[in-house]
Amino acid sequence: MRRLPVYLVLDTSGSMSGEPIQAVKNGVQMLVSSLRQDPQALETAFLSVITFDSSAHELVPLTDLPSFQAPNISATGVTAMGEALSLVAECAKRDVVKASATQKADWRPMVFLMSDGVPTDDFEKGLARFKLEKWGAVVACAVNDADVSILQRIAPESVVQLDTSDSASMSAFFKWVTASIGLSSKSVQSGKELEGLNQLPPPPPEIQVVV
Amino acid sequence: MSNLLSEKFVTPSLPDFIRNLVGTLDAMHREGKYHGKISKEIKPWMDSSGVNFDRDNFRSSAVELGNDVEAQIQQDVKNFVTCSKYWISSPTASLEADFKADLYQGKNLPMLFLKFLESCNPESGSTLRTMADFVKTLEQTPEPNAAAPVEPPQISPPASPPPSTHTANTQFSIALRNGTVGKPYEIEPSAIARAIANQRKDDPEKARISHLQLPDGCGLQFNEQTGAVTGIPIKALEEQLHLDYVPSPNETSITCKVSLLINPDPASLWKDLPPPADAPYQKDLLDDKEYTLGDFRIIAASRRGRSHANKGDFRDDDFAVGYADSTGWLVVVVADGAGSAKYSRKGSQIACMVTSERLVAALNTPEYQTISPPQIEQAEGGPVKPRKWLKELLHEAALDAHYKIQGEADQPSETLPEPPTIRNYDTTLIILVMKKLERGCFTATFSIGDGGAGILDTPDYAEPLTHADGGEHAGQTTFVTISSTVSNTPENLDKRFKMSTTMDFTAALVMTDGITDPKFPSDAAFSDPACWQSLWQELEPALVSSKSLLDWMNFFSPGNHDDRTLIAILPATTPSEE
Repeated sequence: MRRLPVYLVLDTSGSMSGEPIQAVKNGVQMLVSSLRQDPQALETAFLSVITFDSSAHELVPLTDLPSFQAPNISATGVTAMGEALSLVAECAKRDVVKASATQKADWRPMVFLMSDGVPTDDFEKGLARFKLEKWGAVVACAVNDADVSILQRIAPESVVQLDTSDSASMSAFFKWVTASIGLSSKSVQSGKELEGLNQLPPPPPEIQVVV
Repeated sequence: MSNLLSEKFVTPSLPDFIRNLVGTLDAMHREGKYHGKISKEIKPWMDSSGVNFDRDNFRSSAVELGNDVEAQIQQDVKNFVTCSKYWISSPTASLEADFKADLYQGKNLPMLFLKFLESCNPESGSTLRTMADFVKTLEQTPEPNAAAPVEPPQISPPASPPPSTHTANTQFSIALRNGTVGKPYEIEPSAIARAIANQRKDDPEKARISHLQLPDGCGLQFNEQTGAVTGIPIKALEEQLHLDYVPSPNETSITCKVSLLINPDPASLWKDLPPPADAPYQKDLLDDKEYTLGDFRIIAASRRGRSHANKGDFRDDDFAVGYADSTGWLVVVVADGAGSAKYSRKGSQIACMVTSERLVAALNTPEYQTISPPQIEQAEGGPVKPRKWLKELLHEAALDAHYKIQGEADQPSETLPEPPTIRNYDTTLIILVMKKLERGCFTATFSIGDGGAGILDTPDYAEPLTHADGGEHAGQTTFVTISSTVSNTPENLDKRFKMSTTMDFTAALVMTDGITDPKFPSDAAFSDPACWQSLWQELEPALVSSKSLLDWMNFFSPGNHDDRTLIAILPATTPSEE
């Protein structure tokens, strides 16, 4: 079966501590719970959680939705975004099945990256590594004071912004990510991949699309 | 500070910090302060009461409940408890006893506080008032002997109670492996105890679980002897459970949280919605037919896929069967309308009708009467030219389908909200023509897009008769509605045309990708006779009638929920055999 790999790449640096990180945690939980009610997503979507603070961690390797268990996330340290980009690229290279004579290819992976900061490590190196892999939809979400221009280099046409990191707007963001994964898993089952923001469901009012 | 609510609690036996908590929350809410502010102000004395208070967590888990101050306070107290990292332990039935015992021993009060709040029936009036009454009744109750343990009865050898910090302040939680409704579930003996022991750095060999409360009627059983969990889940759930953990035979049990998630059976989540009744190009969701035509018996069925039913979309697949009775040529066509094209159900229907009618008319002429294997072998493009190369004939039929669909797009037969384009009718197309020879059987195919056809002879022969038009990426294909796909170039024709002569055959199968995707998981599988034979094993019992084929086609295969169409061509049984 062709899988739809989804990587959630989440900023867990110290500035996210408190309400924001709790909201992220709830968001991941909510995302998984509602995707489990969607028969196409339940079968097709595979989820991985990668976090970055002073370094990047593969918190949950690519896992089918039925087996997925929401991880415990805490916030500390600085913003190793470059390392996170390298890591997600390495994970995708390792995880995503390429087409061969005996096996059909996975769908191109979706990436949702969320950050409220500015990279504190070698961002260029990470970005270069990230660009080597083939991605489906890549969406970057700038929270609070994140540097939008940096995120635009990761996802040139698909940067969205949350002006506040309270639970309401975080929850709106994760609901939208959920809808996007749901739509994508339907779409791939009828043979069509989604690539950019314009093919995803329209973001709710809490989320601004950065042009 | 004006402690409005705490004034109701003239309860010297309650520790100060509980009264302070309620009072402070009350006062602050009435002053209209935010949760951030509240948490900041309560933190210092919460800490001084020895409670490990996670302020950020408290603030972020706060829920705004509008002007209902009492509900707000109740919610905040719950959050406070969660943030204080206390365990929620025994069932609410023993609440009162626990509350009393712990009240006098000064243990786990916030936890009991929460349990109390939860146990209060919200219908019976204000929770806080009920609590005040409850506390009053407690005050009238004589204090029990503080030394008497109020432990659940099932615990192993009597032992000195562990230090209270050991139970109350150690945070560890366990998540059991997720299950799925209807699939056998097993957690190996002792695995849970070992996992907790490792977290707590206890001796895993000595640890055991004395009790695990699984939800009633969930289909799983906990074996208290072995510590295994087994069974077949019967309902979906996501719950926090509790278990009693015994670190070693000399110690008393500790209650801890354990989470369990059972996924719904994916098959149960699919909806079966009818397509909109006012949509143009209405079409049956199921179709099945069976025929005996000359030397052939044909069983055909087509059904709407789950992914279409889930959204209330139409069946986009279609098929047609024709027979040139003067020459004995059989014509079989299947087409799969693209999910992304809004009128593809009509496109596939036109493609099947047009090609089958045209081919029957053409093949019903004397030129196609005789055809012999040597001629077929020698010819570079098909049987020696009777009137036209067979290859060209099939190609022209496909081209005709293209133009007829173009015609429909130009002048739709139904009223459409806006002028369509030919790409609104995108469809694949597989044409198979077949003729019994004096010895053996001749088959030719022309295919555009995915799905496939093949011929097999038991026990071990199978020959695929199509190349799937797969793209470089998963899911790409091509359609009869695309001009370049039906172009007249020799390369294009050669790629799409295939023919074969077999001495005997058990069956020829023509299928859309709703069948080929689940049954032939790769291109290699499609070329593998073993895969065809195993499909045949599965299919043969269903070929007693087109209805039973239709039933068989409802098989469940994860990730494969497209429309399914299959036409089986079998040698007609001779009268003597019937």
